[in-house]
Amino acid sequence: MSEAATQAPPQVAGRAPEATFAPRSLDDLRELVAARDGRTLVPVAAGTQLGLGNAPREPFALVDVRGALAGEVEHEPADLTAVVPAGVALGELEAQLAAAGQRLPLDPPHAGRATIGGVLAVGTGGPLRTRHGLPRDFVLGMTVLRADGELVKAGGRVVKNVTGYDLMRLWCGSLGTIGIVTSVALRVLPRIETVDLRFEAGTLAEGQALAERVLRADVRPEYLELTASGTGWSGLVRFPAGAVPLATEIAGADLAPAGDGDYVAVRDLGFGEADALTLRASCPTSAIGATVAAIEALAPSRMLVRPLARELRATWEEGAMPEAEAVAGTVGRLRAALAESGGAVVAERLPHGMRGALDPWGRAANPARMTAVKAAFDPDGRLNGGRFVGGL
Amino acid sequence: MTVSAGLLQALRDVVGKEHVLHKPEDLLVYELDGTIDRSLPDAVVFPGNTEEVQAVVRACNGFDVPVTPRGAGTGLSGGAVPTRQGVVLATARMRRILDVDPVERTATVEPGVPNIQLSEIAAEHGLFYAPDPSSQKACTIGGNVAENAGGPHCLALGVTTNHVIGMEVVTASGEVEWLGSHGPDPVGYDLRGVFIGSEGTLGIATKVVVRLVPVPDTVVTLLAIFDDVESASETVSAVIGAGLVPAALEMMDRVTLQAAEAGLRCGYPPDAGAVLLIELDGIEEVVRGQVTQARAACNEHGATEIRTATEPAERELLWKGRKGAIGALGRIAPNYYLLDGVVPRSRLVETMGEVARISEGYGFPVANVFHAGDGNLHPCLLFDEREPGTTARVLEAGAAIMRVCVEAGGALTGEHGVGFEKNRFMPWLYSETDLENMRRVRGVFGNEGAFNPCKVLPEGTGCGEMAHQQGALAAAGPDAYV
Repeated sequence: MSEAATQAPPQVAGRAPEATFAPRSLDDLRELVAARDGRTLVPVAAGTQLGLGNAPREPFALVDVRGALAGEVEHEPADLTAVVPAGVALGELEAQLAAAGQRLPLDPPHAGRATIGGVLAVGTGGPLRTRHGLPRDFVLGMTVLRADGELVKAGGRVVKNVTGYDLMRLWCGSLGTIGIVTSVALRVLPRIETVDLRFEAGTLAEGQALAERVLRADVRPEYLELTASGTGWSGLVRFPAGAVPLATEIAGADLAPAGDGDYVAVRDLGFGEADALTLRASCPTSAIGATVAAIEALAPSRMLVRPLARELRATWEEGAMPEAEAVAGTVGRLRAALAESGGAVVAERLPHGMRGALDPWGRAANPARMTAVKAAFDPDGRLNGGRFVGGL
Repeated sequence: MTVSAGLLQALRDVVGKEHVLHKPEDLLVYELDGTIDRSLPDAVVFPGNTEEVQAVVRACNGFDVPVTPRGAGTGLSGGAVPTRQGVVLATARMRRILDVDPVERTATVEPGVPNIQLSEIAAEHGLFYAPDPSSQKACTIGGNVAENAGGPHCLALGVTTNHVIGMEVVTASGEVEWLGSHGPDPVGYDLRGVFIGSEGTLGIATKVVVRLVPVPDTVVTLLAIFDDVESASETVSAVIGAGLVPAALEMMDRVTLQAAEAGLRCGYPPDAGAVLLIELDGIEEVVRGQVTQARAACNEHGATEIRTATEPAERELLWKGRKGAIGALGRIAPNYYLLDGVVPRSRLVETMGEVARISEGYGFPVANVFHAGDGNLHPCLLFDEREPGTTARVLEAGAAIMRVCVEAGGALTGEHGVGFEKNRFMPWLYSETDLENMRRVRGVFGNEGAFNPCKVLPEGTGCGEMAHQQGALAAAGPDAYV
């Protein structure tokens, strides 16, 4: 295996890799991971989340895993399952499922090109998490390449299974720090007919109240997003087609057909080329208003609230950046305020210049246990060392 | 006897004399759970709060005595059986509802709160707690967390791990900490996720935060009768093929129906070969269309009769045979061995054929109830343990059926847990490396081997031969239901 001759490899949190590898087979990838060359390995696929987390411990090498983790999807429509090589892009998977009338309702930023392995490693959802939950909620089983080069699996490929420890949940959202996902068995769903609508919500509180009414009426929106616009808040919602008449009645707002780009705009908010600082906060319903107000004071370029998923995201474009101290101060206060309820504020994109002032993750509730997890599966910090919570 | 006078005194000092049992006659109830694997503990201790749980765990660790956590003891894989004796730590006194928050739609409770109570307290806010294991009137939320409990309604709504967002635990090493949180998405590894379903081997949950969901607007239950399991299974495929994800999709075979009819008078025709229960929920406008689709699927695949109910009392009647089926089997044979296996749903029919072939080969009648929607089957082998040698043979047959599930691409347990019953089958699914990798999780939580020993993973010496001799031979109770 040779080092790939690519031009100008991407930086990771402002640092340049010492080398870039592109193993062509799983065996090559295993060999590369198992080799103890003193480097931190940073697995990368589509690279949609390379700005997430701390800088890797140096020296480090990028490992483009797409070649090694490519392969055929084994879709079993009758079982509502699919076994997917981790290097398959979500968009490609979605197309294949759609041909059989099924879907995987995961839509993190850049869901078209993001790979399933990357999506699971990062673990965050998109608009559809409102109805369907996080990526981890679709995982039935996984095979993972551990830092010592061993392939290990957990779970299976049936939709209901409690055989053995649920390591899949530990792997999901671990940012590849305790293993590289190589293959995953997923639960999939039938496609349903839906309608995307938009509305003017008025104030944030009014938008939240509308969301609550819709939830309580059991109309089951696939997503419901509120975005800050010049004068107030706008909403974007996807209903099952059959629920539209009742939903319209309950919403108490004028629902208009959504525009073509509306959904992708909220899905990818914060992950555009010009977006330099992106914050994601998860907080209890009762704290959403105060959290939004604190962030609004920093004049974000765009902001969205996912009221039913208790998540919000704000982004600042280059040229519209607030002072680093102001950001650090606000984030620090929000983290302290949310600590009791278990909320979090994560900097998903952070300009290099702000890294000294702001920890992108904040502190985990139980750092010692987190450290024990890392030590159990990657004692030498070979995989993504340094990038995760607490520098794990 | 592994509990010394010194440890006994230490336990009494922690929880008070009245909350420690140690006389053999007091201990008998705690030697088994819903299975009949038995092992008598040396002491049972009832802590009243987190601090006491922690002190008990630390005292036992200090004396190097095994600890086995216990909720209501309704488990079906021996999880609460103190396999290596020692101390049973029961959560029966920890039954407080700490908080119900209709705005956040969460409740925070102690581990000894029965599952059903969550939905009862949530009802006044128009909410409920979704996972509904069959033992929900008795089983505790702490036990549900340990086993990642499911239930007939988990097809659409998910199992315990989808509904428990955080918990305070005392780890196997005796430390108190929160896993997950009161709110969504804490940063870091999902320790909550790996703790749920760890069958009480990583620690004890002392406070549990659950998600509550709105009560459905409209619920419709369909009961369809078929001549055979094949037709009912084709209907299940057609329902799923039509794009429906029902709230529940349950099936019973001929042997089960006859027992249920004899015992419960459900009005099943004497020649019925299979009954399918389909439950749909949502807003009326949507459910109405789904009911039409489901009925069409039933008719197309030869349903001889379809009953429909919308009102709670009527729906309960349609569920009566399903819920009473296992108990009714007692009319056919004095004992049954209740299995829990999973296969890909599309292989249910052929797997049932294999199950029939195996049980016939061993000479045991078999009754099948299953969660058809997710391929989770519960064959019940019917036998009489008074016949010499029968117990060993029924266990052998059970193992052969598990093997069939694994070979069909399935798993060893869909909802009952591995426990002590099936840990020796784990190598059928996982390599030595996989199992060693799973074992590392125990180290993360400081379990050095004495915390609920002999569960989940195959163990070497020191765990006795209990399962091999007795296994999970269920005594049919009147309320048994899976």
